[in-house]
Amino acid sequence: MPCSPHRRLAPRPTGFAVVWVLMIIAVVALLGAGALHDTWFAQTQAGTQLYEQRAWALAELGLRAATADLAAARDPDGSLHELPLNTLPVDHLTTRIRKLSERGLSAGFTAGRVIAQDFEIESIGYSARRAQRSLVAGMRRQIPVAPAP
Amino acid sequence: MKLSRLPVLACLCACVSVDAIALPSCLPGHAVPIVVSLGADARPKLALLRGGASPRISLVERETGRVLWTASDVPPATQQFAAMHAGFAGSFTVIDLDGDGVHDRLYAGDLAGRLWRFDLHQAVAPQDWASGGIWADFSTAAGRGFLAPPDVSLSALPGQMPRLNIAAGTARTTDSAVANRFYVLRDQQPFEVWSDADYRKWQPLRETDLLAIGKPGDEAAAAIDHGYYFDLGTADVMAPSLTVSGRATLALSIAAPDGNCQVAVTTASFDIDTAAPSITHSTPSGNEQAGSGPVVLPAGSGLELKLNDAGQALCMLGNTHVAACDVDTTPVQIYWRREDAD
Repeated sequence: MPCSPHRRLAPRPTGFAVVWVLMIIAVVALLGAGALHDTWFAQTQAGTQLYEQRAWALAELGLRAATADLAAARDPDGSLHELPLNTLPVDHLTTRIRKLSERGLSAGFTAGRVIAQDFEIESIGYSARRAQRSLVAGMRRQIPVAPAP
Repeated sequence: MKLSRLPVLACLCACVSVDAIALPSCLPGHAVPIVVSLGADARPKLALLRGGASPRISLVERETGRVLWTASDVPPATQQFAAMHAGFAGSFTVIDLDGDGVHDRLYAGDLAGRLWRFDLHQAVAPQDWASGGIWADFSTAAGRGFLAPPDVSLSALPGQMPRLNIAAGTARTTDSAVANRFYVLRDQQPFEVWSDADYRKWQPLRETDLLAIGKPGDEAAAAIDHGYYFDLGTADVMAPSLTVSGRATLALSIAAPDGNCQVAVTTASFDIDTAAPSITHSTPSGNEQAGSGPVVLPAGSGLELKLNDAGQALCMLGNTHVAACDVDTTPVQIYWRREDAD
């Protein structure tokens, strides 16, 4: 086959294929990273909400326990109490019963024979990830007064 | 009226001497503790309020027995009240209206069947300590007066101004039986301090101002303005009634004291604001005397509240449980909030 001095060379490929591929890879990587982050974030948030719900439930439990304590105690001392729990080690619960006032004239009751006592119960539930929920309830009870000697 | 006419003097019980007047010890004529702030030394001090024939009312320092104040219609008395011609037998109820620890209102029933109202002032000279006067006059029937302290309770119904319910019943003051009555009066200005001039202007409440309860068609709560009353027959009120959760329970002595100062006592219970349901007499129940009729007690014995180990306040008449006036001591939630609300 004669050699043609004017043999033309095949044209070299031109364009942005590599760039496109790289960009696609980058986009896919970004999307993957985003999805991964979202998943991680959602998982974290779900975990946090779970612990906040635990703290909330603990605080409600504390309110009930403190109400029972108030029913049994004649004169609560106002100190902070940590309630023992059989749950996760990260959970704990504190309650405090404060006496607010005492009135000798209580509606519907003989003055001087029955007094109305107002209390405030503060219950704080703690769980992991610094989850903390605080509940406050005002309580009132009627207590008979011992006759003066 | 002479105290010697009191039927309980027929008792053979021992007597105690109070300011030259002898009161039977079985009468509800005990001294009433009161916290006062008198004179230049404005510090609250504990005193005792006593009734008698002369002076009619005396106030003595509890620790020293020193007389701090007296009241009568004639001298000598620290304060004179012209209408105070009848004695008092311990029918005193003192109230601390503002919660400062010092009593500032006194309701007192005399032996003539009149109810007095006094405003007690603080850090003033003894001659200015009390301003007061007859608040209700039920002296129409002779031979009955107030022996037991009035039962004072605050009423704060929704949509209405707060008022004080003053519940007091009469007892015989002579040997003969009388028709006694139980009055529930409404003090519509419970927190207002009246001057002597205000008391002079006040027209005492009378039975005609009150609603008679116990007659057909009379139990309309809306018609109760100044108060109401009902007949007790010959039963005497020798102990104060007790109001719990808006329901009043009274102990009625249904016979004159016998030689040992013992009386048969029964109870009645009703809504103090509306007088409903109709006045019903009930027999205390809850122990060995359940269903066996009235309870026999020393004259003057009344309803008492006793806390048991379970934290319940039981209403007792002697050793008998009267469930109608038990106090529920269970704490009730009145508000609620989250401190970390987001």
